[in-house]
Formats: sequence, structure tokens, C-alpha cells
Amino acid sequence: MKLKLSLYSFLYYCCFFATVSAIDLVNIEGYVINDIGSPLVGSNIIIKNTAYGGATDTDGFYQFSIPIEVARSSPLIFASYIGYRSTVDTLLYNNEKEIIKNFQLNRDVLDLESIVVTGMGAKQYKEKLGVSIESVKGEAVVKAGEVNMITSLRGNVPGLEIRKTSGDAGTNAFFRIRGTGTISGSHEPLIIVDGSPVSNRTYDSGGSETSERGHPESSSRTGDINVEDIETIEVLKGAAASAIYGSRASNGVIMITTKSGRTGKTQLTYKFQAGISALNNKYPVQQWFGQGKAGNFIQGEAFSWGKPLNIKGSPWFDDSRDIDQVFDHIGEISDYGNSYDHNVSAYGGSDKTTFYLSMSKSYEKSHWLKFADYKKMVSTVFGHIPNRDVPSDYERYTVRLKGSHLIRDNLTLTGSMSYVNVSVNSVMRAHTTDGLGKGLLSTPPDFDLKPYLNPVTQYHRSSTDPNSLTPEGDHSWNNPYWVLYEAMQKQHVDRLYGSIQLDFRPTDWGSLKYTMGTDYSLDERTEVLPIGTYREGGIGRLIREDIVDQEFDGNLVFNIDGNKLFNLPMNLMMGHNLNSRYFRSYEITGLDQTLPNYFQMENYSSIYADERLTLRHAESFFIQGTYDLFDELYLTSAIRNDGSSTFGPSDRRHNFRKFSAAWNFSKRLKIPYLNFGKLRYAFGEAGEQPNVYTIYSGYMSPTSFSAGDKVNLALTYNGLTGYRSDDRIGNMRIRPERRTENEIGVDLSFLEDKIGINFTSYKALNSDVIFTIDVIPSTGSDEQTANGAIIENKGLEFVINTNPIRKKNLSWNSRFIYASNTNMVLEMNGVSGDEAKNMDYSQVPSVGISKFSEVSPGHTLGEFRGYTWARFGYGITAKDFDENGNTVYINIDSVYAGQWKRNDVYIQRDGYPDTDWLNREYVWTGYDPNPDWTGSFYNEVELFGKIKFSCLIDISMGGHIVNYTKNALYEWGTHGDTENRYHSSFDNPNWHGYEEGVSTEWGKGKISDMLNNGANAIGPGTDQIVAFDEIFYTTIAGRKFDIINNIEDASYIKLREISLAYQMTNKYTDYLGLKSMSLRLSARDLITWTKYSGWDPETNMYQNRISGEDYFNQPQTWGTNFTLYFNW
Amino acid sequence: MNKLKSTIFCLLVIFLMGCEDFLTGDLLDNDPNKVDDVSIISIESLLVGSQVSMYGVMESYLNRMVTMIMQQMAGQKLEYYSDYNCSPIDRNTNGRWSAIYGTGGLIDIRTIQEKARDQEKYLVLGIAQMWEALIISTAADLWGDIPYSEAANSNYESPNLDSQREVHEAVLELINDAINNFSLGQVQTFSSNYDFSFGGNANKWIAVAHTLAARIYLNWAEVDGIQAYENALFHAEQGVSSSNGTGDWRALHSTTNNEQSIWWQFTIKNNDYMGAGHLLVDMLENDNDGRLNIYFSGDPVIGVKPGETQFYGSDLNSNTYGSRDYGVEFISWYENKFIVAECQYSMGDENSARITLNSILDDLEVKWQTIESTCSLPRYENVGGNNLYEAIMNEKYKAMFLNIQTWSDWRRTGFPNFIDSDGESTSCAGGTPRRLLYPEKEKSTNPNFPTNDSIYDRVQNDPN
Repeated sequence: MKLKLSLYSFLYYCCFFATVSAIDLVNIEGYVINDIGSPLVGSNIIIKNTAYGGATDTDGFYQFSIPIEVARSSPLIFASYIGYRSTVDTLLYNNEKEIIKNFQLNRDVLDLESIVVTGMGAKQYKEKLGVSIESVKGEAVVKAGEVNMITSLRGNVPGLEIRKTSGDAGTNAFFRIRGTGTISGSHEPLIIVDGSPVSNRTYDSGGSETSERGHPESSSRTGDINVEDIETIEVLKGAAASAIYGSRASNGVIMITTKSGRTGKTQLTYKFQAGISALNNKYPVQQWFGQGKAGNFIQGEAFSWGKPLNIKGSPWFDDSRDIDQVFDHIGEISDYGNSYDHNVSAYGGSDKTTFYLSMSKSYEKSHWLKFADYKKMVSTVFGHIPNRDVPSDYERYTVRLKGSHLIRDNLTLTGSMSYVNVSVNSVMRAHTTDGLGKGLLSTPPDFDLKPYLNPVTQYHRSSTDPNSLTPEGDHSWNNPYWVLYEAMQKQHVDRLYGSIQLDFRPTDWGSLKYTMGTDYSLDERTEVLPIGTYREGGIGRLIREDIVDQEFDGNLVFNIDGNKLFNLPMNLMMGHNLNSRYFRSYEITGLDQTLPNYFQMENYSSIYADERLTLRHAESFFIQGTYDLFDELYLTSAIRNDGSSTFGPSDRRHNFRKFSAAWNFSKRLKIPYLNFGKLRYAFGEAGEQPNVYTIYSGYMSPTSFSAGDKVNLALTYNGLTGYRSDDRIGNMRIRPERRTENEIGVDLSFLEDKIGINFTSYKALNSDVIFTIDVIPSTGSDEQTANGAIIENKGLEFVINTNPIRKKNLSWNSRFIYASNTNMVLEMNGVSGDEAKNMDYSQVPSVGISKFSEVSPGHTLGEFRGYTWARFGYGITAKDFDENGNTVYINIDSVYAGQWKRNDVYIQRDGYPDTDWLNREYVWTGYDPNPDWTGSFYNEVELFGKIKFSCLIDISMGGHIVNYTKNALYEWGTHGDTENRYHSSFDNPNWHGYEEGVSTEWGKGKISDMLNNGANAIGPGTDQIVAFDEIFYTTIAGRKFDIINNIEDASYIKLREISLAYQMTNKYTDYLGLKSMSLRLSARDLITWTKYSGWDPETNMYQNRISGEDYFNQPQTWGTNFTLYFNW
Repeated sequence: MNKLKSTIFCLLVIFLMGCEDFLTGDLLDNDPNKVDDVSIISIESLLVGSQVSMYGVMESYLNRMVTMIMQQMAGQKLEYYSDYNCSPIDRNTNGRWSAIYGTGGLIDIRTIQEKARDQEKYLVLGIAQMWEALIISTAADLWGDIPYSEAANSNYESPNLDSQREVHEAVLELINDAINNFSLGQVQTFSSNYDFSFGGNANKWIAVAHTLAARIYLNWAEVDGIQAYENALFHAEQGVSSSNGTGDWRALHSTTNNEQSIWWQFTIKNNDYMGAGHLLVDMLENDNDGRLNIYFSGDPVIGVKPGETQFYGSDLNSNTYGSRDYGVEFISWYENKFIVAECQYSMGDENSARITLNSILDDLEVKWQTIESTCSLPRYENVGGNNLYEAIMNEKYKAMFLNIQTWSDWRRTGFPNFIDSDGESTSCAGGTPRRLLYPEKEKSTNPNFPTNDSIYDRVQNDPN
């Protein structure tokens, strides 16, 4: 906008100087300063409804001339500056040749004067918006110091929830706007860069036979955008805001506008950033009990139910005896990560041509120990070079060129193109036995993991096969050092995306804009599990996968300015869009490696291939009108008609509508202390397209299919290829999911713009939600993808911006963000929540979205469902024994009526919970992963206009996580809590650690002592003292018996970001020929306040959807950065 | 202005005409990742798909479940612990039930039969009929009444249950038809390697058809009495006879990935989920039976009882039942001979029954001595009456290790009785289950299904 104003000013100056020089002129001049007296450099001053105007210089001074006739007409003079409230006043002519007019502009605390992109190229003053669009400036994104644009947004936008997957290099993030309204679709918003959609696909790799939970983390395509290239990010939050994008926009839209060139001298900027990172928490593992079973050491045993170790701190420690050696597995394997970033950008241009060019290199190495450092730690003689030195790193190169050329006065060509090259080494994560976490947390404390190769044989060595004598080994899971240095997961991406835009303005009232965008990426992946890796019996596996992802988007927009054409305050936009998305993946799997340490496909005796190909086309029309009534009521209405090849042929086209109204009531009603007040209402519809090819079914020849319980078979069998029918029947009537949203809001500014408040309340109904419905299996098919669920999300959002201190040498800005969202699945397959309550559980539709999270009517989306002990509130008939040892069955809710609350635990006569209640089934737990509210508190203090200190606190309250890792580690005897365990020696007077009242009491207690979540123990054995022994931990407290006790509050408050920046312009910068130089010291995630006992409450099992599941997820990190900017 | 008018005109044309063609075309009108026209898939390819899919039915969860009920194996962890302790969950059978009827199952097997009839490929027709007979008769053994006549048939949206009797009678007719088709031979070319069971050998198929028919008749003995034994014996006499195992119908597995034994895959990927069952281990130990170390590894071999919360049950012997390429025997020569022995005993010919029993043990001893030369099996020279009956059934139970038929044998005869050598019951508190729960998915979608079924409900051929 600034560019346009200066360009227009220039043109007008040229035209009018020639015509008015001969007539009498009046000189207008003055200063423009802000509320604390500082000059506002580059402010625009114009005479309203004329072409006369000027801009302020570095002292805030402006000067221009107008004809005397204009001056005599007492025109309105208007001063504006970005981030400040513009001011309009009457220019009074005093019969002098000169009029002095000074302005003081106040801070625009609500940012009302900024122009935001509302979609399809349309722009609107924020003041006139009736919908929720949040605008984040590029500098705020850059300051986060993150490589990924999405994680940089944390804490900046109300209602945009972002969860970083882990602390590994190039990590991914789950993000969503205003809760989830889909079951099978993506939760992620549509991402638009410079008017064209780009891919934010997260595609899992790791072989079709492994579950998503066992894949290495793969980089998301959102990480390909260089944050230094971003001018602004607009987040379109409600369906009304995003409706113009139709059937791809029900999750909202994130629109990125990249930096452009500017007329004038070429400006050059170089940025260097370096940082370190490290684990932000230590996992609680026990150190007092060794490897083995039943209290005895057993070599090769997977679990830690062995002897009590003679360790300092343990109640049985005896310093006269040899101290048992234990190992800090986590501390030894983790180190400091490091990162650096170079970015060079240049922009400039002439009157007709501008350019912006940037190049960057970003490198990040995670905290996992490098092999070179590992070698210093061990005495093992290595017979071979490991497969990789750095287990987890990320390297990205970007080049971006954006240019604009004024071909003719009314024809502008703009082009932008980015090339990205990404290379990633990642670590196998999560629950899989191939993964890092399982071996790391499950290995007994007295087993030294570090020699991960048998020094003699050089074969993989783990706690379950410590003297590996065969290459394949006999491991129950992998040594984590083996996972780091011998297993390999690599990803290499080449990506080109950008657009060409032709802007034609044949008249002053109409313009045409055509944008042709493309996004192409080739993602090459390699996964190596060498001979000796646990999976596949240690025979070695190689997977190579090439993924091509391509999108074309052609968008034609015709704009009519009603002011000019009809003399009406309206604008009309009509458009047409064609979109094509193509995806292809080839995956080749080699099994049974022949030569060790040689990873070519020819070296594998069994080779399988998988191919997947998809194409989807969409074609749309849209029309949008805006109307300004009395310059205080702003109306917008639009409709979009979408057709897609993914819609059922019988119903190929669907409409999405929107309407919004914004009333600036402060123009009509003068309220004390209120500077600005706006009421807004919006209604809109947006959609989510069905997955490709849900219309069709057919016959397939799967390379691998599950026969249950991790057993896989293939249809290429005995050298022959077989086919079988699809178990999913096609749906010719599939429709897009539809989100209908109503929102109301108010934007207020008080006390001379010192306080600004935005408040929004919304209610969204996602109908026709697509999910997999059960088909009667005996018909020969057992599922179908169909529309049939209704999900509600409603919430409140508010933002408070304040400027408590505004002085020349000290200013303090503060922002508090709050966003709550509640979610409910209202209906599935015609069954409402109320009806579901009265139905047999087996008849109620339910879809699992992760191991524990399910979707079912009457429940929050993702509520955990799982095994429990016999608990109250579920109508459970528990099993117990009477005084004579005879089995009795008790309807616990009835027998103990009035004494219990939901989830209290029934304690049998023997003192333990009942794990074997009648008709043991999954129960709904009442807990879910969705936070009740999220928010942030941001403060920025500026000193002397040169030093900026900022601090961002990020808050998430109320969500829960199933700490299933804890269940597993209880079972395996390595969790820190299992130090409180009973061992038979404790009661043996001949044992060295025997002490009446100490060892004899150790590991014993009441079940009520270890109940979480406020649950009480009720039943005949409530006061019974029991032994927390191997059997207790491995069965009653292990997996598949009760998850509620390990569901934990995932609320957190994080010191997300803290930053100190200094802007330098002095003799030194002059000496270096620099315009300015700045440096910044920043840190992220330094402190986390949480009750969560696992690695981190922000953890997420899946990369692109919330799961609330922690099962050996990778840990998170803190990080700190030092950044230097040189501006020429 | 002319340019503007032209532009507006062009825009209007675009708006009015639209681009409907843009939504159709190659890769848009079909799923390129699937074959949508079954006519271009050979029946041989469908047969491969069905055979492999049916291995996934016959050797996986259902198979494991029965071995736990019969205490040949023990469930030690997670849901297997619950299963072993007679608290199975109906959702656990969803996958295998769907596989019986759906992809690769009944719906595809019937397509093979239809195409085979059209193409006069009678051998393939017979093979497909035998697969249908095996999985449907097994399903009726496990659940009792099941959908059959209306199943996998597009004319029926909610298939009704057929009684177990109706299902078995229909299967017997199907077997009879299969035998006739095998007798017709192959009119059109059939590449024998597509038949993973017998390489297209019609005579072997006819033999297993008779043994399967004999098994089904025998399973109705509790209801049909002597008639059942007569029919069973009639078919068993034409059943699988070769004790070298070449006539046995078993799953084909190899050491190649995704072709490996289902038992092997399950065991190595689910550490300690299952181990040796107490009852079988106790019987083998008590009889000083050499198969103890043929079936299981470990010294000593340990079998786990229901209620025990230890993970110490011995693993399957990695050279035999726990090997990478072990395939479960669906129909075997020794089952055929045990049927003969039981029929002989039940029809009053104890002497022949004893001779048959001992001859089976002779042959089995020879078989297992190829693995362990010192392996010896017990003999029953002077046993008669109910003891002989018990010996026949106990030996059948021991011989048919990991075979689903053991459950029907126990329901029919009460042998083995669930008491160990210490005289203690090895049953769960509620007793030994008599059928599987219908799968949760079928119950929740098909209104014709009972929702409150129990594992202690008696099926039709198990009235007492």
C-alpha cells in the first residue's frame, strides 16, 4: 500500500506540476509526530478527494503545494501512518501563501487502519471487516527463531492451536483453528501463498506395513517457507472468513503474503543466526532394581524385575558392600543440539520494475549425541564405520525471486518463484520396536547400553541380546544407539512453488487479475534397517520412496469499483478458479539383506513395490460484493460454487455462502473514553472435500495386509500375484463436509487508544462430516466412506492490547490472548447423543482416530476410551470373593449408591482393583485431548528506541494425555514410580538390606495411595495393605488393564519466547557502510510449568492431528539463538 | 472500451459455459490404484488372493483363541490374558469375521466359482468350493448359527442367521458338489502352481473333501448318534490316508517376508503374549510323551494355567510349530484316522479302534523321530471301554496341536477333561467356553443378530 501511495503521488506530482505551475499555489507544510513526540517518517498526508499530497522526511516534516482554489474550499486534510490512527481535519485557508498544519497520531491499538487480504486477492481495511481475520507481521514470525513458519506462530493468534511434535531437527507441528470439525479429513487450514494454494502435506513414510505411530517423523511442507520472506500472515478463522475458498476451507485459511520489491535504491540485508538446544526435561526412570524376573538377575531378560541394586539413596543401601553400577541412559545419549541460519535478501527497483531476491541456508542438528562424540565416551573398538554420524539433522536451502513489471500503465505483471531444497536425517520414533524411545526408556538401569555393538562380533548388542553371536540377533527392541547410528531415515525434497499474476486495469472502475500458481515437489526418502535391527527378525530392510506432489491453480478475478461506475459505495468481485492436484508415490521395499553395510536394492533378496497415484480436479465460480452504508455500516456477501471430481457424480456442485456486517457505532454514538467501537456479525459456510476416490471400489493386490496382531501377509505369494476385492464399498453420493458458522464480535478501543479489545463468540456446526461407517460384514463388505456426522464447536476469543507506558525513551506494549473452544459430536449415522445414551454400546457408531481417542455421538471429539479397572459410574458388575473365598458378582454402582463419584475405583476384598469385571469392555473415560482454553501473554518493552525486550508466555489449559508410556514402563519395571516396589528379599532377615519397619514396609501400601485424577478407593479391601510387586505392576497397573489412572492433565504454561534486541546506527555502522545493524538474543521454551509427568505436555503422537497419546513419543527441547542483521 | 467489452464478454462466456469437462477424464473417473472390472482378473489370481486371505482366517486370532480355550497354549499378556481367563471381548473377532465373508473370503470365493463354471474350469471350481466348505464349516463350529444362505449376496442387505445344522448340511452338499467337480477334471488350462495346497492334484482334493465331510458328520454325533458315525466312517474311509503328510491340507508358508508362518510372526512380534498351555503340557509330561519337546522349547517345558499371571509359558519349538515356515494342518491323515478310530469305538468295534489308535501313534512316532530320534509316544494295548474312548480323544487332542477341531471334539466327547495330573481343575471359574462371541461389528450393524450372546451358550450340535 505504501508503494502504491508513493507511486501514485509521484505520478500525480508529474501530471499536476505541469498544469498548475502557471497558477497560484499555496504551500502546505508541517510535522507529523506520534503520541510521544517522535517524528513519524514516511507518513502520508493527502487532501481528501484530490490528488494533492506528500510524505514526511526523516524529521517528520512534509511539504507540498495546492492550487489556491482548492485551499479556499476548506478541504479535508488527511494524515496516516501504518500502526497509527489516521487523522482528518479541515484545512483552513488564511489568505497566506503558506499553511502550517501539524499532526499528532495516536497508536492504532486495534490495527484498524491496516489493510488485510481477505481472500482471492480482495483487500479490506480491518476497520471494515465483519469477519475474523488475524494479521501477523513477518517480524513477529521471524522473532520466534523457528525454521518452521507454523511453529513461529505459537502464541500469536487466538484460536490457532499449534503443537510442536518433538524437539527433533526439522520437526513438524500439528495446528488447527477453532477446534476440530472433521473425522477423516485433515485438521489443517488451507495455506495460500501470494494468492495460490500450496501443499502443507505431511506424508508418513516407513513402509506400508507399519502403523503411523511407528514411523519416523517426516518434515512437513509448511517448513519449506523461509520465514524471512514473509511480509504478513493473515489467518482466516471462521467459515465466513474462509467461505470464499469453498470446499477446501472449513479448517480456515492461512494466507501468506511474501515480501515484494520497492522502488528506489537497492537495499541489502544479511542475517546470521546461531543457536543451541537441549532436552527440556528428564524422564523419570528407576535406578534401584536391575534386569531380570521375579527378583533375580536374568541375562538377556527384557524387563527390570531383577534384584534390588545396592545404590546410594535406596533404603537398603550398604556402603560396606560393592556398589552396583547403574547408567544414566538418557543423560548419556543426549547432548546439545545446534543450529545456524544465513539469509541474504535484496530488494529495489525502478518506476516500472521492482524485485525481491532472497537466499537462505538453515541448518539444525538435534540434541541426540553425534557418533563422533559417542566414540569418545566408549572404549569399544569399532570394526566398521557407522552408517551415520549425525542421527537427526535438517538442512534447508531456499531461493526466492519476486518481481513486478509495469508493462503498460494499466497492465502489471508480477511473478514469484521459490526453490527449496531440504535434506533431513530423522530418527525412528514412537512406540515401534525399531524406535529410539522404547529401547531408551525400557532398558534396565544396570545394563550398559553404550557398547551397542558386540566388541568381538561387531553385531548389534542390546539388553535382550547382550552377547550377540548372530548378525540377526535376538532382540526384543533395538539398542537406542543402534537406532541413532546404524538405522537410517533420510528425506530429500526438491520443491518449486510460485505464481505469475497479470493485473489489468482497463478502466478506472474495473480490473482483471489472473493468477496462475504451481507447487511441485519431489520427496525422496530412504529408510534403512540394517541386518540385526529388531524388525523383520533382523534380516535387514531397505525402503526407497519417491513422492511427487503437484498442484496447479488458475484464478481469474474481475473487480468492479462501484464508487467509480455507479457512484455507489460498493465493490463487486467475480471470479473463476481451476485447480488440479496430482500425487504419485513409488515405494520399493527390499528385505533380507545379503552383504552387510551395503544398502543398494540389488543387495536384498526380496523386493516389493507399491505405487499410489491420485488426481483431483476442482472448478469454481465465486462472486462477492461489499457495500459501505453511511461510511459506518459495512456489508459483505458472497457465494462460491464448487465442483470437484471427488464429489459423487450425482451431486457434483455445491454452494458455499457468506454474509457479514460490521457497524462502526462509535461514529454515531459518542461514548466517554471510547475512541472506537465496532459490532460485527458474520455467517458463513465452508467445506472439506472427500478423500480422493471414495466414490470407487475395486480389486487390489496389496503388497502387505494385516491378519491382525502385527501379522502381515502379501498377495504376491509363492511367486504369483493375487487379487481380492476391496472391503470398502464405493459411495457415489459422497458430498463435501460443510461447516456453517455464526459469529458475533465487538472491537473496542479506549483511553486514547491505550487499550484495545477484540471479542468474538462463534458457533460452528460441521455437518455431512465424512467418516467410515460400518457395513454389515456378512454382506461381503465391511465399511463405506459416507457423510453422516454432525460436530459442533463453539467458543470465545478475546484479545486485549494495551500500551501502559508510551514515552519517548520507554514504551511498553502488552497483549493478552484467550481462546476457548468446546466441542461435541452431536450425531453420527443418524444417532444423536441422547439416543446413544440409551442404546447398547455396541449399536452406537464410533470411530477411532488414534489408539484411545474416538469419535462418537454425545462425546467430545477425541474423548479417550479404553480399558479400566472396575470403576464406578459405568454400571459395572465387578467380581470379588466373599469371606469364604467364593466368587461373588457385585453391581458396584447400586451396592455403593451415594458413596461414589464417576471413576472412583472398586477395591476387592484382597485390596486390589478388579481387572476382570463382567463383560469387560472399553469405557468412555470423560477425558479428552482438547484444551479448554489456550492463550498467551506478550510484553514488549522498548528503551531509547533502540533496545527491545520481549517475552511471550504461552498457555494451554485443560487438555489431557494418556501417558501410555507410563503404563508400559510400569509393566516393564523401568518407570521411576516402580522404585516403590515390593521384593521378596525385603522380608528376609538374612538379606543385607533387611530392616524391620523400613525394608519390610517398602513397596507396600493401599491402592488408594496411588490413584490419580482425584479418584477414591471404595470397596471391602479399601484399607487392605497390598504389595506393589512385579505382578501388580505387570498386570493390574500395566497396559490393557486401566488407562484412566495414567490419563494426565496436559495443561501447561510455557515461557515460550524471550528476546532482547538492539538496533545499532552509529559511527561504527557508518564506518562499515551499513544503514543499520541489529542483534538479538532470544530463547524459546526455557521453562514449562506443568503437572504432566512425561517428557512434555505438548507432545503429540501424530504429526497432523491431535491424539492425546504419549507412547514413547520423542522428547521436546529448549533452545536459544543469537541473531545478527546487517542492513545496507 | 472495445477491449473492455471483449474482456467482459469472455468472462461471461466462461461463467456461463463452465468447465464441467474439467471434472472428468483419465485418473478422475476411476481409481487407478484398483481394478474396477473383475472380468480382467483371472480366476487364478483371485484364487491366490483367497488362499492367502484364508490363511489369515484359519491360522490367526481364531486359531489362537481355540488353542487357549483348549489350553494347548496360554494367553499371558493383555487381551490374550483376558481371553485365556475366559473373558474374551467381542470386538476382537471383528477382523477375522469380516475376512470370512469379505475381501478374499466368501464374496471372492463365490466369484471364483461363478467364473470357473463359465470357463469350465472344474478343478478350480472344486478348489474354491473346498475353501468355502472349510471356512464356513469352521465358522459354524466356532459360533454356531451364522449367516450363510443370505451372506455375501447383494440381494440381502441384512443377512439372516442360518442354523448351525443348515450351514453344515449346505456345506456337505457343497463338498459333494466339489467331489463331483474334481471328478470332472480340468477342461480349460489351469496352471497347477496357483493351487497352493495340492498343485492341482484332484485325487488329493477328493481325499480331503471326504475327511472334511467326515469331520462334519462326526461333529453332529451328539445329536445324530450312530448315523453320524456311519456317515463319518463312510467318508473317512475315502479320506486322507498317506501318513507321510503329502495328502494333508495345510497352509503354505515360507521364509520369505509376508509369507512367513502366522504363528511365527505372531510370536516374534508379540513377545510373551502366549506360551505353552498347562493342560497339554501336563498331559504330555504325565504320559512321558516325546512330543513335549517337539512342540515346545525350554527345559523344563512350562505350561501356564488360567489365573496365573506369569509370563513363563514355554515358547513353540522353533524347529517345528514355531518355525518360520510352519503351516497349520487344516485336514490331516491322522485326523482322518482318529475319526475312524472314534467311529469304530462308537460303533462297538473296540478292537479295531485300539488297533487304529496304536497304528496312528506308530505313524506319528515315525514322523516325529525325523525331528528327534528318541521321541517316543505312548501305546494302548490293554485298554478298553471308556478308557479307550478317553485314550482316543486325548491322543487326538495331543496330536492335533494348534488345530481348531479340538474344540468340537471336546464339546462332543468331553475329552480331554480339564483336570490335570494333580487332580486340580484347570478350567476358568465359569467353566470352559462353548462358543465364540459374535463379533461386535456384526452385532452393531445387523439387526438379525442377538446382542447378548455368551461364550457359555451351547451351539446346536452341543446340546449336552
